[in-house]
Amino acid sequence: MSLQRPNEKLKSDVLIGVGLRHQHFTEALTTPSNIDFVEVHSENFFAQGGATQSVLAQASEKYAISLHSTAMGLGSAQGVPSQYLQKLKQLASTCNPILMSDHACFSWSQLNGQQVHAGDLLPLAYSEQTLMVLAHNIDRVQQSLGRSLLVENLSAYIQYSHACMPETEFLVRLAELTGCKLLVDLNNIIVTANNINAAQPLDYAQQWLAEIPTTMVGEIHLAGFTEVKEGELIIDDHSQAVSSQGWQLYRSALERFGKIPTLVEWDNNLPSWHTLVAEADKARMIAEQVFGDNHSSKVTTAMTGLESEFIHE
Amino acid sequence: MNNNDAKKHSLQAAFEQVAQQQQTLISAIFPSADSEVIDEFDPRGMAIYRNNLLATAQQALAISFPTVLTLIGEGLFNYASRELLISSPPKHGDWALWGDDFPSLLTNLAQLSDYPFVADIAQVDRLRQQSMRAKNSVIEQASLQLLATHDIDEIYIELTTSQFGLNSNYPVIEFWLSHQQRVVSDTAEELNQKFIQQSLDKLVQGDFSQKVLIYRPYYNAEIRELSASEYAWLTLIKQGVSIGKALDIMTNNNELEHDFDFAQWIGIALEQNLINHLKV
Repeated sequence: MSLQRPNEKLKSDVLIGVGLRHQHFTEALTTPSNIDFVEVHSENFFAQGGATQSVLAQASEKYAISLHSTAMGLGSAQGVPSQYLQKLKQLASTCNPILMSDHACFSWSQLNGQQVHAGDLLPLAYSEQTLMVLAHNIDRVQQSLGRSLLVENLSAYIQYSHACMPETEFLVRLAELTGCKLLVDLNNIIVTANNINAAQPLDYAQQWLAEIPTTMVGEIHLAGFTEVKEGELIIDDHSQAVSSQGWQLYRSALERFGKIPTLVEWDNNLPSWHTLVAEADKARMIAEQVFGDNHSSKVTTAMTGLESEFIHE
Repeated sequence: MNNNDAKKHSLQAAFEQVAQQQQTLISAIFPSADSEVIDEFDPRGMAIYRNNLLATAQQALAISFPTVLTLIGEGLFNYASRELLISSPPKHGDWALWGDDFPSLLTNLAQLSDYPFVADIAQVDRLRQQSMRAKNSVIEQASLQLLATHDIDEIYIELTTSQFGLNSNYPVIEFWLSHQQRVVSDTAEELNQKFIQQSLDKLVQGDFSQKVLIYRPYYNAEIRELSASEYAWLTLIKQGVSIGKALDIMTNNNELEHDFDFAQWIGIALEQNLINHLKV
């Protein structure tokens, strides 16, 4: 997979992007923004025609595109339907994405003897059998697309009693088996750490990162979540700014994995486009601090108020 | 058993075992008609998955059926969404494609037995969504030259795939229009009342029926009433009958008013993006 695009759309060494959602279409297409790529959810652009196709065409004129799928259900024992794959392949051929990704989860299954799609990212049991299924499906998808995928770690709200390996071992072995790279969602690690009552969620997350080989990561996701009362599970709702723990973990991730493309996700309780881009600017600033290069900086927003958040960690 | 066979066998066994586990979880998440659920997991986690499914289903249907939501209100709409999850769970991996069976579910909903037109409004919403997702098309202008070079008996019309027809026993256009004013204001209310009055006036007519065309001039799907003759015309053209032959059939049909003017229709069809191209 190549991240090189021979044009000026890519603005820095560490590519920084934001999730492009419907409510931001107009501003994203008409406002100058200091971002390198936008991520869209593939399934939202599966229609054969209509306004969304036009938006995607315009967006790909302005930004590099990352296609993030949320419905492929790569770990489904039911398999990924050919019809779905065909649509994804068609979409990829029209927008020439720099990245393509989905999650280590399942979505397709059977219900009352009929094929069903869960409409959600359902967790996998980290077992040898699940690893075989997931690896087999990813291999098929990668063959079909003719490129490698990025596979994202999940926030899970239930744990399987018959899981027989940690999530990190499962993902590392998956990458070794299939040649895929990992999309490390830092928020998901923090959410899981909190939900399994890890004594020190940030330590848990740092250890999680330490268990992933340095060459295996192809993208980082940043997001925020709504705080909950004690005893409640945190939902990975992408409804807030990135937490201070998220930013701390991001610094560690860059120090460990190097100049990895980074995306800020915000899906619910959407802020203004300006606020979203400001989150991307924070990520860029951290990257510049970690790698000591500021030649790529095109940050135009007032940073004074943000600096303390990064410097005094 | 050689190495390859053993590998295949082991992969197949893995798929079967994982399939069973995944079906168990899916059955526990989806709402069930008999409310019987298998619950092996942390109930807090299961509640998140169940709530998420319901919320996403409601949100998806609200996008596809906005007029129905306005008409019947959130409470009943959410109840109907849950019922649809039970009777027709999603199977495409694209929520925008879920809901084909929603109109028929509404037809059978006891709470709507006094409002039978709601199912037809749902059809209008559904077809508009389909129209707005259909392949983009622009008339192949050069093909219009065929009208100058060939006999109309030899010329066929390929219609755009973004148009749909609908036949209803209710004034669905007026009902639909009366629920499109998103901004509450005196003017909007006045307009709504005007459409509702038109609906009621039409409903009192005996044996009322309305033929509807949903079409897409550009990106937004529009809706308008079809005369019986234009409806018959479009039906014949869709069936692959040539222009000349279709006009003959319509002339000989005594049940139709002979008010169809082909030259006038071509102008409207071009304006409304109804024609993809002409062919011989």
